[in-house]
Amino acid sequence: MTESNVPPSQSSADREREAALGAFECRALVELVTDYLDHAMDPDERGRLERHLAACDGCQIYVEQFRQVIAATGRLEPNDVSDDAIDALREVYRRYRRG
Amino acid sequence: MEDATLVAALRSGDEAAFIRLVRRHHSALVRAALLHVRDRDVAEEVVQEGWIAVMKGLDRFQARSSLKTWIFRIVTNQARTRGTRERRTVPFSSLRPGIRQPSVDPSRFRPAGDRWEGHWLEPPSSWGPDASERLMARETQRVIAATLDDLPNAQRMVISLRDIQGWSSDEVCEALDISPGNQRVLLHRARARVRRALERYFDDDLGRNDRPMATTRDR
Repeated sequence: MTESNVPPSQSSADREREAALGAFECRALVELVTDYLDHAMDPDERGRLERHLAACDGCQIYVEQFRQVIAATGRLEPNDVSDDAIDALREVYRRYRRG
Repeated sequence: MEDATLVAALRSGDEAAFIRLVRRHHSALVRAALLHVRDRDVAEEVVQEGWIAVMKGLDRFQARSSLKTWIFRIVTNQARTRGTRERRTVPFSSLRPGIRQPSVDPSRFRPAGDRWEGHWLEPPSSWGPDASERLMARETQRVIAATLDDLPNAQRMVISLRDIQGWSSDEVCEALDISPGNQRVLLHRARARVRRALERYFDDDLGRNDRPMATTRDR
């Protein structure tokens, strides 16, 4: 797989796309997706990231997969508490209430 | 149930309300304690003491923070004190991010010397139009659960609170007493690890089911 983001010819649209791609490195972007989704980036950096993202298929897929990961993880059930632990704490509670 | 209602119920000695609260938070509290003490029994003990402190402190609880972050903060503080006392040294905090591991294998980016250094050489492939069904499939959910089980404690803690329990970033920082930056690093590493696991899983799946003739594929 050597699919490239880099356009071979140099029309003005191509140059524009190159400039957009050059606004941010893919390698840096993949480390910042959580900052990006949490709105924890400074506006200038965020602007450059978004400019790159609009032009980069690979990064679009990466960010999309991050959102999919978040949604899919959200479907897991929180760990259950064992009945033993519940019973023990019920005892603690009753002792406490009795003073 | 809203905090105010719940607090009123707890103050009036409503046992069922207390048990509901325990069911909702106990496991996560034990994991939070395990960030500071090594032994699981000790963690359980700390959390049990924490619940007692919660009952004792209910009259002092003010709605400045949410009830759940207040409870976590109590347990976090007690666990930290206990952990420090047990070791009698500066505690190794499992809450520090530690060594940086890249989110994506560096070989998938163009190397130094390339005009497009740091840009994708091997970009990820889309998980397809039926991605949401694939992601919700029981087997996929098992892959995610197994990946979470393998995470370092602090990462697992943060991803569970944020992405499973749906807490906000502020709530997690307050509950675990960590900085926003630290919280994001831990969360990001955890999510990146889940993404890598799913990428591997879906690639294998594709190789097995949809591309029986793909003989050129490296395994």
